[in-house]
Amino acid sequence: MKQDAQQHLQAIARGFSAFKYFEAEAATKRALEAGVPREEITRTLMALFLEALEFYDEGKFSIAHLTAAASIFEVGFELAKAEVAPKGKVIIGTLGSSHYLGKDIIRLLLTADGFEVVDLGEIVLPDDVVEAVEREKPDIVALASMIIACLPLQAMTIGALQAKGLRDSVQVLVGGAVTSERWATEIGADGWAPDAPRAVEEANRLLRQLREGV
Amino acid sequence: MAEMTGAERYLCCLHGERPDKVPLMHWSVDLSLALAGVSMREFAFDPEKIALGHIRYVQKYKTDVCIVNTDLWWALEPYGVEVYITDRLIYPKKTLADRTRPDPKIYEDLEYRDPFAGKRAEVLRKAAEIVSDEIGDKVAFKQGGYGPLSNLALLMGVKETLRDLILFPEAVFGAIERVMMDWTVDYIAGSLEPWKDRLTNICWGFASLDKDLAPPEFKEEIGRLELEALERVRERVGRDVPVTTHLCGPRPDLDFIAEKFGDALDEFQFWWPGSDYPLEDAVTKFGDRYAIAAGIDHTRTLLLGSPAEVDAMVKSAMDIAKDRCSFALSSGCELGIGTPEGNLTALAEARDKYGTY
Repeated sequence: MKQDAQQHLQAIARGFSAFKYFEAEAATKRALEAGVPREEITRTLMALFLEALEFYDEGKFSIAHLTAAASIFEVGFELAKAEVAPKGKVIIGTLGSSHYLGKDIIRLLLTADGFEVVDLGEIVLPDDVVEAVEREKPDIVALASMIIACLPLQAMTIGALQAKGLRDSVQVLVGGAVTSERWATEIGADGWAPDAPRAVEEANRLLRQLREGV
Repeated sequence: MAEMTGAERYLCCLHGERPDKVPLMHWSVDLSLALAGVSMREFAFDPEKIALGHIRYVQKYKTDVCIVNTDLWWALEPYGVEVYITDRLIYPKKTLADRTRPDPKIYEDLEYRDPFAGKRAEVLRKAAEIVSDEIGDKVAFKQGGYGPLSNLALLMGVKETLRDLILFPEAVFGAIERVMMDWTVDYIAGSLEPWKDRLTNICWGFASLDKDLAPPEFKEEIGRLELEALERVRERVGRDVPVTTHLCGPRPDLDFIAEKFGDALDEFQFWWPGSDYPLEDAVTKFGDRYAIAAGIDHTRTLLLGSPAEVDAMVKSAMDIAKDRCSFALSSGCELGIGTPEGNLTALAEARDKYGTY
């Protein structure tokens, strides 16, 4: 059985690495039917996706490769994920512009890490975030700004949460291509992440801070 | 030297001759909209208002080159591409490819639709004619469009097309060869028609050849398709006008484009400061072959800086490029919403101060 499971996981990896969406999807379904534990499948998918992110950072992959990898990861993960209680709730959105790849990657990684993620989409404005916080009651608000023109919207969103008396109920995580740690501190965000994997680490830290006060 | 018109100035620059001043080039739908004094909901459907906004822009900010547009999706209306039109913005609501589930059949089933069959295409065409008639003797126009892969991406969705290019390249390239090549040629050639004998250049947008976007394994093929489309557009135009460019990405692949397109191009317009390609390198490598248009960071200095910082930015660009190549002072792309008027005034003043020959 162990050897069989390994073969199924290798088939998923082959499909993933060759960017064969439908083959990776079929291999995931076969693995599930064969009784390969869900956590082993999701762990394999996560490792492959993180490797794709590394390849992008190293310049081996373009944004096109990363987008394809994200879609294969998503279809496999949706099939294999276990129904467990989420560790926390995050709302996420791209402020002001229609850039979505970075935000979508963070959404996928947070979901894979056990968070429930509510995606507000793109061209999100401060009032949309306030409304979503009132409706969804999240633990964390993750705000991406991908172009400099939309950077002030992060500060405006924090101000809008403050004005509505919601600021203390959530942790605010900011990120995106044009942000910095200094900027995050200046606007009073609780956390900042320079890339997707660190956004997940930061979300976990903020969740601990919220729950345990550390 | 007698004061030149903007058109003369820009043409001198494209022909490698020395104008009276370095040409100034930037544009903004948002500011043109503000100058027309209406909301985008009205602007997008009223050729008179589009023309008025763009004419006032040129006059107010003293640019030598005019780019008439409202958005990137109007020619895709016949495909059923839908946009949101808010008070100030137009952005896509519905493109053809599915966001979550890829499907090669969408590309295989793609059929040709006339880019000028939609209502907004007619509006844009009329607006261009008005602008050409009103100020065509004073300024140059920089009109054109993107190549076939970029147009397919606007039609299908940018992220979706990038994804599908990796997942099923045969279907994507098949759709380009079968449909989007002809569509692109018709779209760009048709966009140039309103300028008639005032057509001074064909502008080619190279969005697909940014190092971050183009998968290296497909770069040659993308370049081949872009070049074929450009040659066909030139054939259709039937006159030997210069070919200008627009490279607004953060990592423009100038070396590859120069190698691939060679003498088919006459100008590089790219984002510096801002992108990772230094102006110094561009001037050194390409200054003897192409006019170079750069020098305005529309995302940082012009948008967020002070007039003094704008002045320093212009001086820095002029110091690098003014006397070493045919140089135009240009933004990397359309200006950001909320670009302060004081900075645009400072920009025109700095061009006169540092850019007069």
